[in-house]
Amino acid sequence: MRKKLWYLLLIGGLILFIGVSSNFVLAEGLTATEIMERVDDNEYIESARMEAKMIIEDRGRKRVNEFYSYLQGENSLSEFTNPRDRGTRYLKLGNDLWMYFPAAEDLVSISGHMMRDGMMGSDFSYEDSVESQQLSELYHFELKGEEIINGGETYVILATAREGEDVSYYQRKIWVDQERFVMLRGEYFSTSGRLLKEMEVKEVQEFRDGRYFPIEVVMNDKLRQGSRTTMKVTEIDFDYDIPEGKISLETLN
Amino acid sequence: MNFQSKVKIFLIVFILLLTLIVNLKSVKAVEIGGELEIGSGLSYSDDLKAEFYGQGEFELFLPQSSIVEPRLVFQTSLADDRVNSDIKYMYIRHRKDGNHLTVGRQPVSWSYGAMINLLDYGLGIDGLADETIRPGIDGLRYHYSLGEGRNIQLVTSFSEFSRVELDELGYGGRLRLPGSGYDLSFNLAYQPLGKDNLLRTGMTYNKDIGDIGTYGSLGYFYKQDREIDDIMLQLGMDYSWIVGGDNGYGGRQLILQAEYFRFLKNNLNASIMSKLMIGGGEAEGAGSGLETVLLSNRDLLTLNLSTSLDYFSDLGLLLMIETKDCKTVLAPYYSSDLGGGLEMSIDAMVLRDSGGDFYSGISSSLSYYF
Repeated sequence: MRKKLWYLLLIGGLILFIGVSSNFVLAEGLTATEIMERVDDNEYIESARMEAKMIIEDRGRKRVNEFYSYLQGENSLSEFTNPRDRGTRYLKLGNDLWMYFPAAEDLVSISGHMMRDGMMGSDFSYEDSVESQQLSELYHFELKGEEIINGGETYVILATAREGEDVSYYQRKIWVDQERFVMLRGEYFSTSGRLLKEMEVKEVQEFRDGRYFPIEVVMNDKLRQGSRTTMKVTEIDFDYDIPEGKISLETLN
Repeated sequence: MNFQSKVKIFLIVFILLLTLIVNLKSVKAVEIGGELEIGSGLSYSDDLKAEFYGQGEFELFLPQSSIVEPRLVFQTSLADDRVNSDIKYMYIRHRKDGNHLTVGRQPVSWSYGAMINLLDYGLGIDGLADETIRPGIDGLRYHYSLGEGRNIQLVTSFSEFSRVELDELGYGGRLRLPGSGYDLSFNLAYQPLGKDNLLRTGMTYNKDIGDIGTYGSLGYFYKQDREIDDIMLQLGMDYSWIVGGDNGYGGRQLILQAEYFRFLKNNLNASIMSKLMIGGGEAEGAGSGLETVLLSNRDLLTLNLSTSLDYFSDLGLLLMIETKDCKTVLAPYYSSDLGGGLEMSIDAMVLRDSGGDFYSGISSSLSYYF
């Protein structure tokens, strides 16, 4: 009888444990948080120098913005090089964003509400560029299942903002490549559950240190019908030795 | 060839040679870029008038070293069968330890987000429909870094290019103290103004309050010879929100910027800013008559409502009202990126003057960026 009670307690405990934690413990012993930490290992940039193209398409029209960036943790400095925007720079210091106008050789701070606006007229908002912390620091994760994307297996993870964290999107549904641990697709939601944006990774590249990184990403702002922006990384040097003071207000003066 | 033209040609050759010498070890190809614009306009007051114009801006992107930055920008315009050409910017900047000294024709901007900046070194107008005037000077500017983005800027300007009359020199200084979430400046300028001199001193700020961006300025203005003074107060805000949409799709972001300035003692008005003698390129100082129509008032309320129709087209409406005579300007504007570096703009204006008469105009332009 006592043995039966122990078995019942054990089974009950297991059921309770599985019930509570089934959303974040699954698949090859990895929890959702562990999966996202491995994603962060690949996608979070400690420091880098990057050159990229931003291809903006909307109902048959197309514009290409070119820029290079220095990235260091939460901070970055980007300068546009295409003719129309040549010399325009964005400096991100923590949650603050500054814009430098080459014609006036002066800088102004971007108001907080403008963070939701499309950066240089694209589907990527200023907010997207500002949020550069590791996702595992900003969100709680639940593993919702597995799906096949382009013939490859993915984990489907629901990320919900941690209380008190200032995030661009309250919830994200993320599809993570099971072999390379990079995000292949994302759906971004507001607090009311409105789908705000869709992200799709078109190309992932393996770098010398065994790191996988998405080098072609398509963002689609669902508030805009028929638009999409493709970010193509043409060159990236990870762990780049950025000169001291390069990413600072001093550089823009 | 007059003396000024000779001096300009000498300085151009000097800058090119200096650039070549400084960068001799790593000479790169000099690139050229800029903008070409053609446009036409129709205006009506007592009779209908039409105008066609063309203008261009060409910048030579000269090689730079870590300590020397030259800049050379030409501007030219064609209107009424006359071609006017001028140098917009021509300067050499020497950098050392985060500080720099700039000598020549150069932009000086003390912006803080306002559409009309009366505490700028010159008259600063930014984003009033299609109107943007960035103060340019002939002179010297020294930038001294205090660290973490804080800095002091000292300016001396000549009243005319290649003419240095000591009693016509202008002076200015700006202490800028940007921080996390705010931008604060203290400005001082003393400049010739016709046969008088104008002293301006004050502070500007920019700070977010919740989701609303706020900015403003408080300045003291003093005309030296006539011994007239005034206090100028400006308050401004910007805000954006999303309207419409079907279940979250197709919503539109509206951006509103509103600002109001007032000369509290009613002794001066903002039109004196367009008379400052600080040199600079002709087109930069010319403006488009905005100063005479709108700034010769004690106060001015400016509202700018804009939205993006899509990623390539913007639509906006500018409204400016002064309270004494109810002079009003209503100006809708539209711009569209046609692709391939081409941009089309259309803007219109209806002006109601102090007598209740109306003037109207519409213009369109096509710009090519290269």
